[in-house]
Amino acid sequence: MQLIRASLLAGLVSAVIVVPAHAALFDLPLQEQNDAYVFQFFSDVDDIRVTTHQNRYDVTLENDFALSLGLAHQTVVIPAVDAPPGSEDAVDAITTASRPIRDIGDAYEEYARTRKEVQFDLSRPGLGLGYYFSSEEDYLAQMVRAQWDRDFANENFNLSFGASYGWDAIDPLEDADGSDAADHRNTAYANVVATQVLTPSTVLRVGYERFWVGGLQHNPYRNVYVAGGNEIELHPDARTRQDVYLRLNQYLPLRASLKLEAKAYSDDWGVTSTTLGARLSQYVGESIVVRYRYRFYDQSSADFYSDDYTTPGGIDGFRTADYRLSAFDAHLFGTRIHWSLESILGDGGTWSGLALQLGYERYFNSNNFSANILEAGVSLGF
Amino acid sequence: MIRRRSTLLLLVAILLGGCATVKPYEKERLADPIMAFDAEAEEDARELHWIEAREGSTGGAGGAGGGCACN
Repeated sequence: MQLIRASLLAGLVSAVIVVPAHAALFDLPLQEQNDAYVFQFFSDVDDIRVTTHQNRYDVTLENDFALSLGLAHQTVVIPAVDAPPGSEDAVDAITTASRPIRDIGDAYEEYARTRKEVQFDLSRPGLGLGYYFSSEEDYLAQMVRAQWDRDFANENFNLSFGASYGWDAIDPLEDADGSDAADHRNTAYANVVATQVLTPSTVLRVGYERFWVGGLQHNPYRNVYVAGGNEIELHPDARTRQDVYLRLNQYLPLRASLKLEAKAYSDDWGVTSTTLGARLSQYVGESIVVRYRYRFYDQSSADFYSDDYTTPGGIDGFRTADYRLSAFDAHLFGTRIHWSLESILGDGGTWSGLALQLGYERYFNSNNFSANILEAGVSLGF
Repeated sequence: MIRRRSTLLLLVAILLGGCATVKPYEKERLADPIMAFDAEAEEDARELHWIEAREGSTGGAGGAGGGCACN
């Protein structure tokens, strides 16, 4: 815990110092700055509430360097449950790591957990480097990333390569009926993204991503019911995941745009999925943009998923109670308003770059899960 | 299957790159914020975080980047 706090503090301090220090050291005066704050409130059908405060500070320097610092604080509150410890109803939360049940006595009490996140990015045209840090009571995640891209064909075609490596330390809390042994998870990631201008009103992006995940990948607090008894969940410790996606942005008459997206995903656990989406943005006057959105998602189940395991060996030695590995489909509807106040506050003043946004989304799936997501944000460019 | 699809899509994109004729002064619409791929990157990242806890797949948010080709 001390280590987590020290690392978080060090990340914060270094990020705050590095921005001005870097600018001073290389004599790089600040060109543009932008600060954006977003508040997000998530509540689902089980009354799990997730509150997120996120702040991002971006600064552009004279020789095209850009620095970015992101901070996030998230609180997850899981209400009292009317279910025995370790049961399927007593676990699962919005974060991947889930609710620990220490003993019978506190199984029915409201449980809260927090997550803190720091991101730091340094980029210049064609190149980007980043570091990510996230800590929870029982989960510490870190990641480094790099990205390179180049324009071709008179800036009508762009090719980008990206890679990242993440290493997570998992230290489960003491649990009455789960496993509390410390473990780890590592993720290597690579992508290639091609962007092509098709017409003065149309642009296309195609991307391929691949993930190699190793280490603990099941929930150490969750049990699986096997022939009337309880067994700790057990997933394979290696997973290779890949997806290909396509995005097409089309400008429409009357200052509107239509963004279409499609994604096909598969992994070596047997899960395949298809995602389709559309976003329609429309200017209302000069300063307000209203956006409507729909997303459809459909997936198959993992090879070792079952609603009813008959032996402790599960399927091929693995067993899961994670509904994310079952077959289901999901829908998401949403709307968002973005209001730039520049036309009201004038051009050039301190507050001229002020913008407000408000959004609401409704998510539901065929597993009888539904959630409401509310977002409010303010950004200031100066 | 995914590998075949991605190879095909990348080939299509690369081939399309050879026939682009859009001039810089014709890109006013592409430069509008409502057309930017990255305009919703932060929002997509937040969404990916909660949606990964609800669905079995991942990715599709653009990953490490990619130019907008519309400057």
